[in-house]
Amino acid sequence: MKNIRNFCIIAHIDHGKSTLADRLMEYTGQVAKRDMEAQLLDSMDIERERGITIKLTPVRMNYTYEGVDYVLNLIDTPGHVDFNYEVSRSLAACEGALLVVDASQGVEAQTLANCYLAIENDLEIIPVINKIDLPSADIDAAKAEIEETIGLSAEDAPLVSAKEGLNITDVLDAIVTRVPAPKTDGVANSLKALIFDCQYDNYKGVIIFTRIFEGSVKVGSKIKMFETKGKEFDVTEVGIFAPSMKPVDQLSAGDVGYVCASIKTVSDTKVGDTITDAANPCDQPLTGYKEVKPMVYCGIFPADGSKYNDLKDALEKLKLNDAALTYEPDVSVALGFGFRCGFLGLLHMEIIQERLEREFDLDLVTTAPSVSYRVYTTDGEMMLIDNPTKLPPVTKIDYMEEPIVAAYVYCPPEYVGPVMELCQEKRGVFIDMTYVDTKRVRIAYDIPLNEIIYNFFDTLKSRTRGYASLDYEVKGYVRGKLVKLDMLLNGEMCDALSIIVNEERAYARGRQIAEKLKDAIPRQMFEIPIQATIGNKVIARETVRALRKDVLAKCYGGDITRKKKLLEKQKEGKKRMRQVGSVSVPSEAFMSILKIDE
Amino acid sequence: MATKTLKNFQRNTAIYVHFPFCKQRCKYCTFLSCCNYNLADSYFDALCKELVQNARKDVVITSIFFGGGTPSSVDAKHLQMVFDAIYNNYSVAPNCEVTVECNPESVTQQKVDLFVKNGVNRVSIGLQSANDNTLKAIGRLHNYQQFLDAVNLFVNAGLTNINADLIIGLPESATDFENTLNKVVNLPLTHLSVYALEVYPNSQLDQEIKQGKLAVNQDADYLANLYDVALEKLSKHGYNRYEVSNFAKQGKECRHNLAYWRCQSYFGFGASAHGYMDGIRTENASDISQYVNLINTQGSAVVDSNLIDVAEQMDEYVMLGLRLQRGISVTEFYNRFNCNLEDVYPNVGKLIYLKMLQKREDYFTKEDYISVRPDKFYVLNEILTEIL
Repeated sequence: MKNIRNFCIIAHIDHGKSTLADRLMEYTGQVAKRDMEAQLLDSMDIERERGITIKLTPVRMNYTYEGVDYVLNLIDTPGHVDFNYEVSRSLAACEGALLVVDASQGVEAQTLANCYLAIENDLEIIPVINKIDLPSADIDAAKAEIEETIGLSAEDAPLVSAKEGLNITDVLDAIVTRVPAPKTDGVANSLKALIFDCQYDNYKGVIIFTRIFEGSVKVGSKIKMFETKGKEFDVTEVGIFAPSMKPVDQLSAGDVGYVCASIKTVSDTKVGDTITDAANPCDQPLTGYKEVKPMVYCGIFPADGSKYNDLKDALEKLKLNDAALTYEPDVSVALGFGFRCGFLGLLHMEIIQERLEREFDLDLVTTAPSVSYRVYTTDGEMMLIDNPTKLPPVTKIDYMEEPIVAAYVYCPPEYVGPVMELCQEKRGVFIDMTYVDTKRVRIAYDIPLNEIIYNFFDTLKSRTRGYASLDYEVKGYVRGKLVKLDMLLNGEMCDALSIIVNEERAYARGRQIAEKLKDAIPRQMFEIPIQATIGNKVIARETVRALRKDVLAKCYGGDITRKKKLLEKQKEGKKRMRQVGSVSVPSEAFMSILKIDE
Repeated sequence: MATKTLKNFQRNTAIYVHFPFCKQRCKYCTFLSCCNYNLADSYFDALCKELVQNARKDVVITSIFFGGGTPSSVDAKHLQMVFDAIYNNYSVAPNCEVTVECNPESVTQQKVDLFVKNGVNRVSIGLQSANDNTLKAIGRLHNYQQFLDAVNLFVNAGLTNINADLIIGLPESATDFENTLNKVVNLPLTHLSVYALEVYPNSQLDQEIKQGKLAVNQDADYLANLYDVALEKLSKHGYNRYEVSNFAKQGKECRHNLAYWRCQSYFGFGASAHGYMDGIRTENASDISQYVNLINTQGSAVVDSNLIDVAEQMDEYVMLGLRLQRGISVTEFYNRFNCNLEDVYPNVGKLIYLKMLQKREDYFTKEDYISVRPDKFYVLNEILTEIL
């Protein structure tokens, strides 16, 4: 056990984490060079395409240092703020962390946050300065920043270029010499292992990703979980990540690997739970994870109503290795049966939607994202409302509170103007502005979260030509003038289009949505008035004029078949639409209101 | 019951004969037509064979339609062969409507005489536009004066049923279209067909538009506005819109087209012709050589045939019947299919409620009719997708 090193990598997006991981695997001979695929650990298509890491992925490497063989377990972690919880999970399974810092950009806010998390978890942190091959690299400045902002000595920091493969062995050596070997609390016979992730396999059932803290587990062991007491499972396979799953005889204290035990019910395993021997359980479970609370909610409905159960299955499976995803059944008059889902942030939401569509081949209709509001009723009760349709009638509401975030925008000084303008537009309250260095400014604002989830990031990127980055954390709730904005189609309310919005914004939003819907709803048999209303008050109105095209039909003489085919095609198109009262609304119409340019 | 039904609607049968020859192809056309008149001898031989082989005396022919192509451009001897083959082999009713499609430039005194001699009592002339520049641009071989001359020849020969075809949305201005209307309403015509221009992919028109040589406005609202202009102007001059695209003076409705819309049976002879006999819809080979070959070797040129089951028959009846201003007779539907229209199509009631359809009793026949409201013909297809 003294020859095992468990470590993770902390880095900001784009600072080269995945590339460094690739390099480490290549240098330890884990992957032959010819099999190297860029960003090997980002196994999901979405991860590779977007160049981001979403899921943590473990891998085991063998390395010889001064004649002694070592096992290095790397648990890759995501860098985006939305996936913070994933980071905390991998930290709990490690003794050390590589802190990768871009030599030209220095320490970013997100890196800092994760770094503090690592320090809290008593991890040994090894700074690594990456991208030293870039002309803009300023190694001394990067070192100084690490020492100043984090208080870590950067003197011995390996200086590398993961892209060019420079000085990679320095990193490996540092891992062996500086990351402590796993330690156990004395001699323990009974198994104590942390579940840090899960996957579902159609043949093997749930695959548990685990770090063994004490004892051992092998095929035939009887295990049980702390939280799902009573249920016992026979272990059918144990293995390591090399980097793909490879069965081994047994996993013992200090190891990182996977365990299969014919667990068919997804809810029987919970990330953060402790596995132990069924016959001889340990007394105390390991400290689990902090429960993560979703911040952004939206309705997800199958485009084809009959796919409800498929969607349910898919969500269940995603939930298995994404503890932060929450969902509960929802029903909409317009969209039928679906789910109200909770996410950590917008990116998380997008990723889940994309995974549902790609990995499970589902066509989805999603509703506008919402945050969770505190609604104080006249009865003196407080309700948490994340779904506009669940909002009590206006007469029952005393007042409402909305979540506020502390938002930090980093950008070059020349974009300070546009950024502040945007934050102001988004009802932001200016906190302060500091120069991180001559090239970068950090602008702090308190902004209502519901403004952030509504087009903030895209607008920020476009107004700063992509130079600005955004971090935010929830600060608390403040009282707000909030109203429910409803959309009426031909006089019928379409529940799936309702949103909760600040009163001042309601007029503009109502007008924008009405305009979008006007373009997205095809002309039909009759004129369709589109109205945006607050209570009984109409605040915007558009009209989809009635169709007028059928008088222009071509005569096909005696060829009836062609005419029939045309009608059938038209009928098919209609079937794919949703009925809101007498109006047919295509799925795209619901989606079109999600992206509104300002 | 079934046989009775069949007999009922086969009693009045139409004959369509296709003449796939044109002196020059119009740029927008997708109908089967060919400019090589050398194929005519073998084609009309085959056509007459087909006419003879399908001869039936148990049905009464109430309308005959020579379509194309340009039937009037075909040699007199070929036309005569076809007339003879029909009259010698079919029971043609004494008052049968006999229509020949003509292009103005091919209408001569000789042809007119031939037509009249053979019982032609209705002609359909392709005018498309009264604007000579437009006619040139779309590849027509005639000008407006030639059209007037043709009309005169027919009128002088005693024809009292003359149709002109017009096209909405040609490469011309809205004013040009109005001018055309203003001119034709004062002519001794009795019927007008008004269709919208359709630009088919890869047609010559399509290519010339893409090359920027021609410009057409295909906006549905623009076209609908032009249609409205036509509707208003023609109504003022005694034309009744008895079908979505067809306008007729009283009693001059085209019986042949009505046969299609009322799901009556019809023979389809010639290349690419469609027929509907004994409940079977058929389609002939659409290539002239293939057609000739099939007739000569197999005795039939049918390349596709479908038995229309009762459910389909009902759908067709509704789909085609609602194109008519009169709509569908609830009584006739019952007599034909032995069930109630509104039981089969429950949405009819809803559409009446939504003021898309209307139900009224015919003053003379006392039959109930379901029809599309006059101002809802714009959404006919939408209405149909709701019903079917």
